[in-house]
Amino acid sequence: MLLADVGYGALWLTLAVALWATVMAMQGGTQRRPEMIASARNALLVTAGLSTLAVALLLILLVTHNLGIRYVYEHTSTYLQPVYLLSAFWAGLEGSQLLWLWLLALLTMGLVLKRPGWDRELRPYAMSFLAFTQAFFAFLLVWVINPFEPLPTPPSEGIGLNPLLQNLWMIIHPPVIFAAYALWTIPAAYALAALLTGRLDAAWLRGTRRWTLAAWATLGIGILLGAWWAYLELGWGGYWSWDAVENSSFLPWLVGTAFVHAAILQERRDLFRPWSVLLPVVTLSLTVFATFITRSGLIQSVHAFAESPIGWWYLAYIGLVLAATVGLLRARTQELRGEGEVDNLLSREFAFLVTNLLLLGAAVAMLLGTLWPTFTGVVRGVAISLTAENYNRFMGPLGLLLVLLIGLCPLVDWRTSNLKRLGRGLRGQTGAALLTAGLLILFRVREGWVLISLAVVAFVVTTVLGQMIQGIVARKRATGEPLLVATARAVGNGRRRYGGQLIHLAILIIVAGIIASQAYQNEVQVALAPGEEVQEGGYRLVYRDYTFGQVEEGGNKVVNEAVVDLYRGERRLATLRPERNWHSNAETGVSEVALHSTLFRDLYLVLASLEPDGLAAFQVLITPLVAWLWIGGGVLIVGTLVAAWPSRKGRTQERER
Amino acid sequence: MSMALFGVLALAAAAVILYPLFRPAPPASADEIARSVGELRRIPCPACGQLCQAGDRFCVRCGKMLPPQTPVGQTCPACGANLPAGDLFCARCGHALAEREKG
Repeated sequence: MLLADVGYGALWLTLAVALWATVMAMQGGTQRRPEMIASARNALLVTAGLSTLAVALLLILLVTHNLGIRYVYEHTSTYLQPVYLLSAFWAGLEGSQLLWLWLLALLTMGLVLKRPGWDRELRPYAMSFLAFTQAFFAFLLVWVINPFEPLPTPPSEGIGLNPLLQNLWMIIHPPVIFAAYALWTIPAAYALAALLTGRLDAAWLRGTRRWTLAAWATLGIGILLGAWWAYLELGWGGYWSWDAVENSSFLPWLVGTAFVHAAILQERRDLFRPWSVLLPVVTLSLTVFATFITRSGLIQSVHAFAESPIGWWYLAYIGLVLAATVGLLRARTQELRGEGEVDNLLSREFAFLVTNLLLLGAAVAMLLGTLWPTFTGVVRGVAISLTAENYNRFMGPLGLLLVLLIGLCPLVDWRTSNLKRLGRGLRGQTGAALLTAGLLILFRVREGWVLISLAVVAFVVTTVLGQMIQGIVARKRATGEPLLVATARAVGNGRRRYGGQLIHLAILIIVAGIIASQAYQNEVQVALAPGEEVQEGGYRLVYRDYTFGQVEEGGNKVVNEAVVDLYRGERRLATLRPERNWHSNAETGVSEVALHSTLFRDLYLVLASLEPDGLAAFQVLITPLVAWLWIGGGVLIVGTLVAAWPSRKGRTQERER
Repeated sequence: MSMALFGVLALAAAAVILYPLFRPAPPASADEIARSVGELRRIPCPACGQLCQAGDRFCVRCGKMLPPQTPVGQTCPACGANLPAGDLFCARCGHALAEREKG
């Protein structure tokens, strides 16, 4: 067990070194002792190296099927496809916590390797907090959830990976989510540093802006990847079910979004100082809370893949961090009073304020909804979960109001605006909204909420696109440049503006996809014998062939597959191969869905059951615009890159600062 | 065997971490020196103890007159500014401090 011992030792050392860095950075900061800060910096480089070593060792143990280690035994088997050995790394609590520590250590290394510039004064404190969080994670790994724990007698075969996790998207989704969680630690660390030093002007917001954007976008992409996984793997044709664990990753996204907006408002108008220090810390706490929910067993969830008493440690960390923040906030009341004021209700400041209140309101409502089964469990002895419909009833209108604000916000000016200007701005958008509603009615859309929400989306898209086009056309007219050049230069000179608008556009694309796919999912269930066919929604499905009871993975997986040709008219579009498989380590059959995806609709084919004689039960789901969710995700990445790309001007400014 | 490896790791980590604490201090940069000199040149107010800038005539906190300080260089005859020795013109009012050599 040499490798496991060294891995466990590396975690112990990480804990010790991170604690050292916590103390040294704090002491070096308060006493202005550069040699102490340098020692803390080196310590943080060492924790990055040590956690990398631990990660490498666990990977080696997994890949070499070292079943003498409990974690390897619980999450892999000798017949597991090699690529899924990687997802076994984060299939369990121990591995995912190690991944989280490792990503945080790497990010911290990236931070301390940069020469201190604007953050000369804040950095020691931020380093101290980052080191503290690393120490906390290392403590959990050493004390509570040791990934290198040996088994007394090595078994001959492992339990194997949960078949639901055997999906390519499940290889990517967890690391992206944990990267986002780790990234959120950095703005939170600087917020605390700003509170400690009392340097609460916008400098720290400007300096951490790119970290914040990266954290925000990564979390969004992580959530979308999770939705994609649920859509492809869970086999019920949906991508979101307001499950406790889904909610828990969405909560930090909502609060993080509020922070991004609060930061803009403090930079522009020196408003919201307490918000911009509090919100990143709350976001970080919610990322830890998400892990608490997943792992504590407090809330039953389809995602709760592992449970252990570790939950209370997470809660202790959250309590400590929040208590420290609230204490510091009270001590800094003086410095937290910004210069700006909201002068007028009809102003962009006020629109931002309402946006943030709605975002936080949505977060609080979701938090209460997620914890509801726990409350009812304690009070009435029966845990009652909210249904997806319950959630849709309050999250739907809140979301729509937020979308509307994206469209209204650019139409009002900073400080003060007047109704006449707003009215002038509204003309085109209202036209677009009415036109959309009219077209939808022509296409026999009768549901009121669909009409209203798609009209709102059209209204907002017109605003956002109008703003983008206006800027580009103005430049083209002023300079006489060709359209492409004018576009490139306008975007290049206004990266933050155009990046922000692209991100809003991405959100709108996703919202349109959600509305359409929620409203018009078409489902048929049909039993077919080989050679029979079924027609649905303009598609023709011909059940051509099947494979029954094919044994794979050394008898541990039985594959049942149907071969279905998909036609539109006489043209064959695709051959679909849905599966219904049995795994030795799962109690129920696991569906592998077959999907034919186009820009406007997805055909989703589930093999519900297959008899030995080939009689098969199919579930056919036709859902419009699902692909827009993933397209929106792509636009979101592009928008974030545009917004965060360092400009040459910014770089020289940074150097001068 | 694993204990030996752990020991090597621990020693290497300790060396990297402790090195900055024991290495000779690097030379201070110009602005650090300037800041330290500024700190050293401050004088305490005899009435309230507030540290005041060198050259100030009144305390910035209590308003009491500070004791006269021995000028370090020369005093401008026109405005009374405290100037380094060797300057040819007053940095505050521009008064010519010495006749320029006529060449």
